[in-house]
Amino acid sequence: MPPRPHTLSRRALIGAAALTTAGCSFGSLDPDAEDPTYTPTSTPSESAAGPATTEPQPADPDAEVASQAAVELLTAQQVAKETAKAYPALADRLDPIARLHRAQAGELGGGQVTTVVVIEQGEPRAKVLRRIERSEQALQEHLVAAALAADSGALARLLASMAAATAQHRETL
Amino acid sequence: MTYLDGLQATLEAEYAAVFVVGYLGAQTSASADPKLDELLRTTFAVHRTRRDELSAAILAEGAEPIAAAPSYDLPTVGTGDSAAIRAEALRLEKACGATYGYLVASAPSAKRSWAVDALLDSALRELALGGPPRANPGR
Repeated sequence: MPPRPHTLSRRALIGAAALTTAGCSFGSLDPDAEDPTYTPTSTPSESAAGPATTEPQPADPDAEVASQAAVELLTAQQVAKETAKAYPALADRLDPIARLHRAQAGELGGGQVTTVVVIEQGEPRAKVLRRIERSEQALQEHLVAAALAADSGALARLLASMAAATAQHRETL
Repeated sequence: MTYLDGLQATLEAEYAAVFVVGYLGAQTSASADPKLDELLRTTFAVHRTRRDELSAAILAEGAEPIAAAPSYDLPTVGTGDSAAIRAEALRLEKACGATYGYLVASAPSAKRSWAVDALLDSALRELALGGPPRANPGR
């Protein structure tokens, strides 16, 4: 049986990924907080029903930063998860990475990736690990850039911490 | 907390780190554990450099860097007890990482990169000191 020929790079997946995040605001976070955590400001159903007042709500300058970071995290999580399925011998290395990114995305409000990630079968172990390493490096670089771009100090700290955790887990590959 | 407060707090942490890592290095046997000895020498140099960079950054903000304390609390480790020395160095590095995270939060976007770089480097040093990967370094 020939190997399955379709492989998607993570970059390609990023462009194709469709993700929705719950309504969130980082502007309300206290930059001085010791452990800044994300708290949704509204539930999706509340958002659908509209705000209680008719006054226009100020735009959250960090909403796009957080949303893009969540896309990157969930895509990397999918890549690690599907690779672990395709290469069970690597699951002990990849499952913790997938769990980490899932939890990180949750801290940013969560979301859903609708793209199906397909991993090529039958590749040498070293090649598979190099691909994951590139995927994680790209994620780390995105998180660092997002931390530098964030308006909120609390979000910046959260994103920088996620980048640092990603760097640590890369070392275990 | 202002950016300047964050810089001063981080400088204070670096003073303590230089002091304590220097002590831990002195308790380490270079012949019995050359790897740990080298790691602590590198760690010492990194924190000393950061101390100087932070002092310069504070001066650039038009403020006076705080002075180091005469002494800092030292951990209780036996001479040549590599496991205990490594554990204390790891504990210290985690604390420094949290301080860098604090500085990330207090810094304006344009002045944040130093703290982010320090946080990433510190997270990797945790691994070198025997710590496991974790979900929230710097927090």
